[in-house]
Amino acid sequence: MSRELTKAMQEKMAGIHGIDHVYADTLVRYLLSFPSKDPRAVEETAEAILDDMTDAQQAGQRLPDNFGQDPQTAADEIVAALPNRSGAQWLDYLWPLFNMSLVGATLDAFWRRPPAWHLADLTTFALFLLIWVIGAVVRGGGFNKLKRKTTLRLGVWLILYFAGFVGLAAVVTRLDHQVIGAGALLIFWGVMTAVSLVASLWRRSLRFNWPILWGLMTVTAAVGPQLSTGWWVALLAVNVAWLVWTAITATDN
Amino acid sequence: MAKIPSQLLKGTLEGALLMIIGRGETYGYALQETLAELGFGQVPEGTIYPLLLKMQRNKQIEAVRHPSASGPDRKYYHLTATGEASIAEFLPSWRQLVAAMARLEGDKGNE
Repeated sequence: MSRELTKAMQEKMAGIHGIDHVYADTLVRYLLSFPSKDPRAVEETAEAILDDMTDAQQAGQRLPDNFGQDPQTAADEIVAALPNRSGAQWLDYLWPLFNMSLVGATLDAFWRRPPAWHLADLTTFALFLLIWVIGAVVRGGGFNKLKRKTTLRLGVWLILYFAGFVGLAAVVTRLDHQVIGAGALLIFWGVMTAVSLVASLWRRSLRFNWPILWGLMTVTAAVGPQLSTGWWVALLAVNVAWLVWTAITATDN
Repeated sequence: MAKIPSQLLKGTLEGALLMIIGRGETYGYALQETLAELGFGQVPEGTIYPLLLKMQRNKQIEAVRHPSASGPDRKYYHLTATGEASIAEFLPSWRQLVAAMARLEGDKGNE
């Protein structure tokens, strides 16, 4: 998953103009696209590079002359020299993915009144993941020339994923009578509320958004069948708004 | 000034960067300028940064952020005791190499 530019980076980037701006933007986004690297070290390095690029441009140099004619090789060497994520940083990174995956896997069940989870819901979730992965690849692969090895690897993964998706769809349409009922789902969402609450109290960077989201889902699913359609839709809208807000703010790590 | 081939620079650039940083706290672009002034030619930032990160990882240099003379905060590098030891280790090898090359050149002149 590719991270967005920080405010400091955007401010520094604003000082770089013309075609050099595209060069700097592509380079920094490429550096940010490596989730295995210490995000703080990546940010500091990107900001330092942008400071130097601003100086170079003010001194009348073109960035390809200043930074190098082969930015991808240089960026790969920088990435190789950056420290890896620590265990705690991995937790910060994977926690939103873990929560978002479970929300995505049970979202179809959540819309139903009363809630019910069908095996076919997995295909919606797989499609959601596929869109996410393609989005990440498009954002991370900004250099004009992706290395042939990288392109091949991405192609193979996408073909394998698509084959898996088709296979999954074929299997679940045969087994779609498998259903998890409202009782089990409520227990699951309740447990996720408790787990995410404890996690956010234990480690602040894991954020308080998740227990609120899981709690909202639990309450909505519990009281939804008794509510009038108008109130139910209103409650769903609150859920969706909080889900979107959580998803937007959850990808900073 | 002719461009020094990158393969020739590779082995000495780390030592040169350590020595420049050893003269006093400095930052990326200033390092590049100093290298050019000293006659190393225009060494791309893309070559300097991996070395700076490697030297930070090896605790030869440390980075701190503070306001620059021209305005906002930026990252400055300074030498550590490990970095000083690395220079002390690098210089005898470098002198040996220079002496060997000089002898070779001298022998060629006497032929």
